[in-house]
Amino acid sequence: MTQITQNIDLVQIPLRRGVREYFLPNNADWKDQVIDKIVMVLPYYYGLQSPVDGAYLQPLYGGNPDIYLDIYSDDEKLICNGLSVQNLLFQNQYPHEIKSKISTDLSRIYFAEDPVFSEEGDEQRCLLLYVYYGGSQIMDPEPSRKNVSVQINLTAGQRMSFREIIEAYVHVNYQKIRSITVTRDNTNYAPVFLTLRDCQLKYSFVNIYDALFKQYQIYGNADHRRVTHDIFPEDFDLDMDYSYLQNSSMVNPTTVVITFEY
Amino acid sequence: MNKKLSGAQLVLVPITRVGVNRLPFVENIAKRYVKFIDFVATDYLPDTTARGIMSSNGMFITIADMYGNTKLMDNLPMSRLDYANINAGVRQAIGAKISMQDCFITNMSASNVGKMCALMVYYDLEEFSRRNMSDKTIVDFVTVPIVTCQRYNKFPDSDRMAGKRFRRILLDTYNTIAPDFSQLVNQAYLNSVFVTLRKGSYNVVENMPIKLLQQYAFLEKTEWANIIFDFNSSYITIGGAGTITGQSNYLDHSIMFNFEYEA
Repeated sequence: MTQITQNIDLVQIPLRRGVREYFLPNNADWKDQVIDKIVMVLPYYYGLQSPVDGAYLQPLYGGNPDIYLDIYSDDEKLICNGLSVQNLLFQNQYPHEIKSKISTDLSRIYFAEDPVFSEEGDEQRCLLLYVYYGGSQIMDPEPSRKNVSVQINLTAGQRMSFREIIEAYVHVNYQKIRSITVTRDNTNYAPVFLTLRDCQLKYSFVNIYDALFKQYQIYGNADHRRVTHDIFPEDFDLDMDYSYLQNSSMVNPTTVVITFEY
Repeated sequence: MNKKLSGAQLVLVPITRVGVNRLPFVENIAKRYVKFIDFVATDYLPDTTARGIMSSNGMFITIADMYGNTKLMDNLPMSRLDYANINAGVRQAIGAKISMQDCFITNMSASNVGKMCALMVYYDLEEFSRRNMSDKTIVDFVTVPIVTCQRYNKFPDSDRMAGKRFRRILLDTYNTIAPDFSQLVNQAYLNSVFVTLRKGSYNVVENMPIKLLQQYAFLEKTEWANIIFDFNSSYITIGGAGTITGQSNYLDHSIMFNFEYEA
């Protein structure tokens, strides 16, 4: 059996000095859906910016790693009590699976102590979460028979739609794309976010940090591990104009190798 | 082979020479189906002042089946069993009953002589594991205060988790303060910490290095087969039998786990 992820929603939680406890948003699309898992993006070091408004993500080193999650189900049962951040991080091969509808009124993320902010400035800080929901299982799908890779160079802040990538660089019947993976290396590294939409607006992957689509391992480097990506639903009809890559750095260009399997 | 773990025991192999060093006989493991063996690189070992071997270099392991005449592993480089090594990949399966007296470590390094090689043996323990009865699970945290740098740092009683069947035991190495505001042992000192989970008078998990519970770092998902144990008789051991240096790094601190169990 293979787990298919149908939707990944980006949740940005702004942090405030002296505030330790934060609740999940009440008005999200996934409020009454079964949540598969919640993945948190905590970069190792300060500098990664949110694709939404440029706020800096709270780092692991130099920030405060004592972040915990309490999750209540929709019938107000405590199903996660003090789940620690390492079991939620995007680098974790197997983040904790929730598999339940949750109560956003009661579920919370909290710091054991006040979150640490750098001394230089009072700039906005945030936590970035990805909520996976609406997943289902299918029998073992047929393996992809072909794949093609293309290297994309993005200037600072550049956005490139999949239509531009596929029509200009990759000659493939894009309606049959099974999955997308991203390969990065340590040089020339600026964060890239992917937005993937289908033509029927049934599925949604918005501003997904590229690390969630990575599938490679650099030996001896603890920053990068092989992460298994979820295969797209079989009826995912990629909207080529409204699906895109975006270099979220406003300063540095970057290079991405993107692989399509079909 | 079902990869979910049930019984686990740390086996210490004295390395007395350059050459063949046989494994000791361990009654709990005899006639049991062995799933995996992990090499554990740690300096201080539980309940002994003998020092452990910190590197798998120069060591090879041979595993014989229960009759002693078939080699399931023939001089396999020990690095292949070093699961905690970032480059190790998934665990190497054994999947058979073995004769421990016919298993041995071939040591090629003189610097290892006089030390102990620590092996974590995972075996089938049906008496203290159960099948899945439900897909729903709950996660809780537990902090174990360290009051002695030897054995018997006892788990606190937990009414909420009494009698439960446990599927995952997770250690977070980044945290410094637990949700109950306990100060946690720094990750630099976790190599010498071992956990024993008991049910009645039996050690379901005996002296397991807690670093092996750090799922974040590993390629393979570590799951337990709904094991059962008693909190009030389980404990943490600090290696070295009281001789470990820097005891202030442990005393007045705690170890925190997240336990996932069947709802």
